[in-house]
Formats: sequence, C-alpha cells, structure tokens
Amino acid sequence: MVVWGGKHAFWQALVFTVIVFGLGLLMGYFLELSRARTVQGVLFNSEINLLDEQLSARSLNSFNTSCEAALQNVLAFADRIYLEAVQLEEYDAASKFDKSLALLHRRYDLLRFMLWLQAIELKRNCESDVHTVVYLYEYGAEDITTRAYQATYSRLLTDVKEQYAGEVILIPLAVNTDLHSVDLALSAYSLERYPAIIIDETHVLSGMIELQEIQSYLDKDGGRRGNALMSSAA
Amino acid sequence: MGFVDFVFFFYMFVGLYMLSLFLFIYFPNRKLLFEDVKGKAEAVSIVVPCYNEEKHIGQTIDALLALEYPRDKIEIIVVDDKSSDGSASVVRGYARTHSNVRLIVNTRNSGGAAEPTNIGIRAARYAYIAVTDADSSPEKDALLKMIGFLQRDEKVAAVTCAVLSKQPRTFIQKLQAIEYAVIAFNRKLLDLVDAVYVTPGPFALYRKSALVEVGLFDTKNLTQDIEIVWRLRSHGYRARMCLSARVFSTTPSRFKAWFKQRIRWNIGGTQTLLQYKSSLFQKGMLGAFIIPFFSFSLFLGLFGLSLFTYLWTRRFLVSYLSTKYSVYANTAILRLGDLTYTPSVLNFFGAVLFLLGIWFTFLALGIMKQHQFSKASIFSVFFYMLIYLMIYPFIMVTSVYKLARGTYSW
Repeated sequence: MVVWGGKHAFWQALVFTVIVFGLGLLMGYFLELSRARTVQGVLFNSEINLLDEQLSARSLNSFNTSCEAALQNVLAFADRIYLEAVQLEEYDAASKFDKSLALLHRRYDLLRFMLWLQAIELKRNCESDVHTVVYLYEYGAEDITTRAYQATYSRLLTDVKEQYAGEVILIPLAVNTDLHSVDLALSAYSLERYPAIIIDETHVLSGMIELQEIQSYLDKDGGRRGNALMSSAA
Repeated sequence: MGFVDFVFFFYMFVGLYMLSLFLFIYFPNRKLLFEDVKGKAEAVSIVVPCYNEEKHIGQTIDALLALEYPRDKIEIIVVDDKSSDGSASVVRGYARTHSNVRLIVNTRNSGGAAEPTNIGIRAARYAYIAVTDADSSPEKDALLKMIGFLQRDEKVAAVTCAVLSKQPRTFIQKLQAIEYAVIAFNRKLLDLVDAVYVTPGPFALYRKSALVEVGLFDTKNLTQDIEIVWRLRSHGYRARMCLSARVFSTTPSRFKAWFKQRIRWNIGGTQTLLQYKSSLFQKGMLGAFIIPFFSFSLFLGLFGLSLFTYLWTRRFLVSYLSTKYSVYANTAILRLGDLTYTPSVLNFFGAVLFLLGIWFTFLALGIMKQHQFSKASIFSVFFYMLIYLMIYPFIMVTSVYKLARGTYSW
C-alpha cells in the first residue's frame, strides 16, 4: 500500500531542516561572537600594555630610568602581540558571519603600528642594537602568488624570530586595512608589491628573498652567525 | 560570507534535507518496509536477455526453475543476443529437459538488453512479464511476493525488488554490497511516497499490457530499466518496490569494469532526463519529484566537482609556489604552525552532516542485515562513505563528456 500520507514528509522535512539549519547557523554565529569577544578582551589588555609602554618611554627622560629595561619590555610585548595576532588570524580565517573580527584586525594593526613607532623612538633614545623587522602583508589576499609569498615570508620570519630572540622586534602589519596613518608612513617607501619586509626602517625586501639576506642586515658581525645557523640546520 | 561559503552552506542544507526526508518517511512507516502483498500465482513469462553469459546463465535458469511458483504458470524465455560464447548451447540443454524453457536467438547482436528483452516480451504468452539479467538469481519466494502488487492495483505496471550483491569477494564488490543494500533501503523509502524511478534489470515484474501500450523498452537508451519506469509514469502508471523480495546480482569485481558500468548508468540516466525534461512539474511524482531530484543531483554533482577542482587547484598552486619559494629562501617548507587549524562553522556543519550520514548508512545496513544482508565491516562502511561515494562526481563528468561527444556504448 502506498502511504499517501507519507507525502507530507516533503514539507515536514523542509520545515525540520530549516529549523535545524537555522539553529546551527545561530550556534555558529554565537561561536564566532564568543571568539571575537576573546580577541577583544586580549586586545583591550594589549592596548593597556602599550599605553603602559609609552608612558614608560616618556618616564625615561623625566625619571632617569633604565633604557634597557624599557626595551626589553617592548620586546616582550611585541612577542606577545605577535602570538595574539596569530590567534586573531586563525579566528578571522574561520569566521563566516561575524564582521567584528575584521574590525578588531584594524585595531590590532593600529596597535602594531603604534608599537613600531614606539620601538623606533626607544631605539633612537637608547641607542640600542635591537632591530625592528616589519612584515607588510595583504589582509585576505586572493592572488595565488601573493598568498604563496606570504606563506613563505611567515615561515622565514618565524625562523628569524627564533634565531634572534631578544634582538628583533617583529611587527606584522596589514597594508590594506584602510588606515591612513599606516598608509602615510608606508608612502615614504614607495613599495610596489607585497609582501615586503622593512628592516630597521631602512632596508626593504620583497619578492624572492633568502634567509641569509635578512640575516646579513641583522647580524652585527656581517652575517657570520646567520651562516653558522644555516650550516647547523643543514 | 563569500560565494564559496554560501555554496557550501547550500550543499549542506540540501544534504540535511534529503536525510531528513528519508527519516520522515522511515519513522512513521517502518512497519511497512517489508510488506508483501499476498498474490495469486497467475501465469508469468520470465524474459532473460543474454549476451556472453555462458558462466552464469545456467545458475540463473536454475534459480528461476527453483522459484516457489507453480511450474505450469511459468515460462522462461532466454533471448540470446547473438553471443559469441556457449550461452545458447547451455540454454538449449535446459530447453531439452524443461518444457517451460525456451531459447530465442536474435538475428544480430543489438549491443544492449532492451532489444532482446522486447523480443522476449513479444514472444511471451502470459499477461505478466518478469525480466531478469542473465547473471542474477532471484530468491525462491521473490515472484510470489511481488505479483500481488500488480494484482491489487491496476495502475501499478511495474514492481521491483531488493537487488543485493551476489557473493561479494573482492573489496570493490564488498563496497557495492553496502551500496546495493543502502540503495534498496532508500528505494523502499521512495516507494512509500510513490517515487520509485527504476526497476533494475536483475529482477523486475511488469504488466504486459502496459508495456505494450507504452511501446516496450527503449532500445536507444543505455538504462532502459530507468526509462521504462519514467515512460510508464508519464502514461499514468505507477511503479512499486517489494523490499522483502530479493534478487542477488553479480557485481563487477574490478574497478575498471565497475567504472564502466557506472558510466553507462549515468549516461542512461542523463539520456532519460533529457528525454523527459518537458515533464518537469507535470505527470505526478515524475515531474514533481523524480525529474527535479535527478536534475538537481546532476547539477549539484557537476557544479560541486568544478568548485572542488578549482579550490584544490588553487590550494595546490599556493602550496607548490610557497614550497618553491621556501626552498629558495632556505627556510622550512612546513612548520608546526602550518598544521594548526581553527575549525569554522562550516567545518562543524560538515562534521555533523557526515556523522549523520554514517549513522543513516548504519541504520540502513542494520535494517537490511535483519533481512539477510551480510554484515559489513566498519572500515568498508567508512571507505564507502569517504572514498567510494566521492568518485561519483567524476563518473558524472565522464558520462556527460561521453554523452556530449556521442562516444558511448553498452
């Protein structure tokens, strides 16, 4: 016997699917919202820390405090927000509904740009050997070559960060998040393609680069340490 | 949310809808799954199209002779499609010893099953026609269980049964055994909403007058067993499925033969779809569900494969280039950080849908197991879900390509 009542199954299934799917989307939205809140909390904390670092730098002149200590704080802070940025990138890549992560990304870029300025100022005031390595990349790049370069640069800079721990302030900075302050600063470099790396505000690298090339700018002894590290890795 | 994300969500919605549909049909009607309508043993002509089946035809005739059905109400007509092996002489041997076995040899090799089947139908003496493949063996009670569906409702012109894999030995045969069992279960669910769209060749029963009225099997279609049901439906007839009746069919034991068979099925399905496209949203369930279901499956399969190919090509190119650049840069080509992954909502949806799919497959196999389907290993089921089913979009593309070029044959 054909169960003609069974034909109700078509719309019943549709209603059920719409409800279940809708609930799933809602849960997904809340998951992304919770991730954004986590990032927001960390960002808020980092903003306070940066403000703290800026005040520390100002107090150098007024209270004759240790320049080295202030630099070390900036280094540690840079390391921390680097890790936070990695987490943000992961959450952002997984985000489908919530646009607040993109906004947080812009705030993080501002924070990192401020850190860069802070590091320049400290280097100047303290006459320090600490290097700033600014990694300029395209946020949400679609072009295959750009994405491949960015993946390579990320690996390269992870190597640099490990090899020059305590000597390098690594600052990743998205160039296409429509921040006027960043655009203004970068206009001085007349960069034509991204990703690019700016070392100590003077050396600009882009396209196919070697680890050794970066090392040559960072090593005080003309790249010998870099060579030694590469030999041991080989 | 970008276009690609939207497409993925859409696929998941469709997947969830189909799964829900089957469950909404199954749960209220589960007691009806194995219903069989007790019928009277009226005379039946069994037509067996045969081409180069020397190895199997004897077993098939034995199975037909062993049917629990009065001998005098069965005639077996084997139509040999000009085999080049000893099929005809095997059948002649049976014809000599059994008065109800006949052999007809086609004057030419038609290259398909439709022509010999039509020859058999024309030669048949009785009002009911059973058609069986030469390598299939129906169970003893299959015919008696199926005939009641035709006798009870004059609008029913075709009855199919559960087609199961005969003695699966190789791995691909075991996968097909799972597939056949799941298909049989799903087909019965479709039967409960009057949406049976095929009466597979291994064993099906028809009303002869209806077959003659619609012009018998289409000799140009590669899947005449799909086309005939669509044609019967377009003439106002219905097709039913009897899950408690079983036929065991020989399945391809090698990947190449399996692939070729599936290409043929897909080309035939697409041919049928094109032939009946004007019936969309007409002719009852044919236009309301079967044609949209076929069209949608074809479109989603082809579009999904195109998107999948595009995305993976991009990913591959990025990986290739970044590896090349990394080698040049003297840095690691892979870091631990590259392996970390934060799942998105889509990933959670996909995982839930996959688990539901696995659960549904086990549900189907569990139900079929109670009715003689042999136990499938968990590995085989996972392989079936993850690999076997994933090959289908490739089959679809190959089929559409061959159909477009006209380079297809039985």
